[in-house]
Amino acid sequence: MDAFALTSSLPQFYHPTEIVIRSSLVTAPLDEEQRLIQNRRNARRTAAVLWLIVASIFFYVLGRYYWLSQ
Amino acid sequence: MSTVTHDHPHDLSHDQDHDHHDHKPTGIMRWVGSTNHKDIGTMYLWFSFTMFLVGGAMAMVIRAELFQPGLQIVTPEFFNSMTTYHGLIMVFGAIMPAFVGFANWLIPMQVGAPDMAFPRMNNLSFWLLPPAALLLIAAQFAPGGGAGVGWTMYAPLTTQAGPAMDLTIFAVHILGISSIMGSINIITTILNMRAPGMDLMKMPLFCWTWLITAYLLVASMPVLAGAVTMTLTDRHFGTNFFNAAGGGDPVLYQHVFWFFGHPEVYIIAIPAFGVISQVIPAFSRKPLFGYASMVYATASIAILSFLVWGHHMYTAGMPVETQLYFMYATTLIAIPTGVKVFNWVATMWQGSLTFETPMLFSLGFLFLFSLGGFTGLVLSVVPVDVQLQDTYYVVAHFHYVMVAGALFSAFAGIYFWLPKWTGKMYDETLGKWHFWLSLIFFNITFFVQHFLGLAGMPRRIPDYALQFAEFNKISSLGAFGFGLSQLLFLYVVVKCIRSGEKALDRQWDGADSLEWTHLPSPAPYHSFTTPPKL
Repeated sequence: MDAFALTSSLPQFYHPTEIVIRSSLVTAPLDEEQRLIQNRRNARRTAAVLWLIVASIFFYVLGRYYWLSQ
Repeated sequence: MSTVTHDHPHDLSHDQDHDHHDHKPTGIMRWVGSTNHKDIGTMYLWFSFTMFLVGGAMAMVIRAELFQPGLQIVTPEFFNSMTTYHGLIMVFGAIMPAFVGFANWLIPMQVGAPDMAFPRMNNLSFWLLPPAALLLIAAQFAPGGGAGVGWTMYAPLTTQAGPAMDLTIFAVHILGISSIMGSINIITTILNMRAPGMDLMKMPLFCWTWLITAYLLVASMPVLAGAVTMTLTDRHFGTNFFNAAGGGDPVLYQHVFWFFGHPEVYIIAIPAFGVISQVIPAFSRKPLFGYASMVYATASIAILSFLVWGHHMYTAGMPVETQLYFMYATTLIAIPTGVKVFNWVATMWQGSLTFETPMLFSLGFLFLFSLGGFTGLVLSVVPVDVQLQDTYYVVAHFHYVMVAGALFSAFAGIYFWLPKWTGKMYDETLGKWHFWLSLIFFNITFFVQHFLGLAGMPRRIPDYALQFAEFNKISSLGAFGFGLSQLLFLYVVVKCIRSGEKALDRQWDGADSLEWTHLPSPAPYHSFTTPPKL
């Protein structure tokens, strides 16, 4: 089964990255499968760190000047 | 002519053996619910062009009013509103989304990934844009009209403006969230989804420039969000961040805003550098000269951009020592920028050059962006800036950077990748007409504004002294011509999509990134579902 035969059985808007991971579970060699799963896990971690940075800067700016204005 | 037959090593039919599976959703839901990076890239590009026309129409109102001295067409309040929303729409609605559109289309293909790392967030980050744009347009119809506060939204004007300001603040918040989502997606895609063998230092420079830009966005957008949130709470929740009567400081707003605002200039310029770094080598038929130095120069520009915000406020009141620091730090930026310009020139040196439309726009960028850079250096010198601040010299300077820099680069990129995106070739003759008309009318519009500024004409005024009449008339005529020239661009793109000749898989023989060497034209709806062999 390849990625796009699998697509038809997936919910709408199932995105291609996950399709690749799912399809790779069926067809790809083990190292490729692990690479894709690892990529996905790393992507989530990277995004979490970035969101943390964004939130920190925003609240730092607000907090710093609110404190200074008291 | 640089078009070639298939002389590349890869048999694209084998690389894309899933073409027969290249199903596309149909109807409106294809676009509303799309998680496909190509569809989302296309939506970004059309959205940005629409906003370019809206912002352009506002520019036409401004130039029509300034065609001759006196008040002719609009009220001063409406004029101020036009300058405000022209700036906001062009920066946040036109230029930034255009380059995010490029990023969406190209980054997954250039790093060998099947899509962006977070396709659903990608969908959301696009669909936040239309409501924000509608808010900016709706602000014109708020009681009291649009907020005539300038795109920089300085306090205390903003703390005293009418309800339109609230709509504007909300729009800026939404645009900021969209940008942050887009940049997080780009960083995670580039860091985590590259095909095996696609090392960071092997990536096309366009990916590098967007990686650096995305970090700039992550670091600077929350600062803008903080600035406008403080404005909002000053307006409605009794705080006094910027209200001098309550112990606040209006100059604080300027510091916070420009800590975002100067990196913002490079958020716009750096992806433009990336496009130029793809186009010039392709039409020189040589690899980019000094790839590593280009990466380091781009990173240096990004770091320096956070250290120079004070040069926007030399006259707002700061010690001479601080002025000197900001002056020297600002002039430092000329060094990495010079590295980039010299590398582009060195790439062309002894190359087998041809001058199709993308290359013409790139050369236009090179000349005019350098000119805008030089006037930036002039303005970085404190005693000169004290004379020229808030004059048309500044307006001329940043339009050379924004229009001849970012917009010309976007045109270069669109002409360069249209054959890959659509599978069809644009009309080369009309493309060249578009370039020459844009180049000539752009200079008619903005070159004379240097003289107006040197003679002392202030910016953001609907009326002016008689001595400025001639140059203003020339500038307005140029602006009308430039605006009309962009309708030709729309015609060229629509003609290409509807009836262009079939493009080759590798339309430009010097183009060597994965989308040209490993994918057919048009690029299939799903690409690199299995990683390319590099």
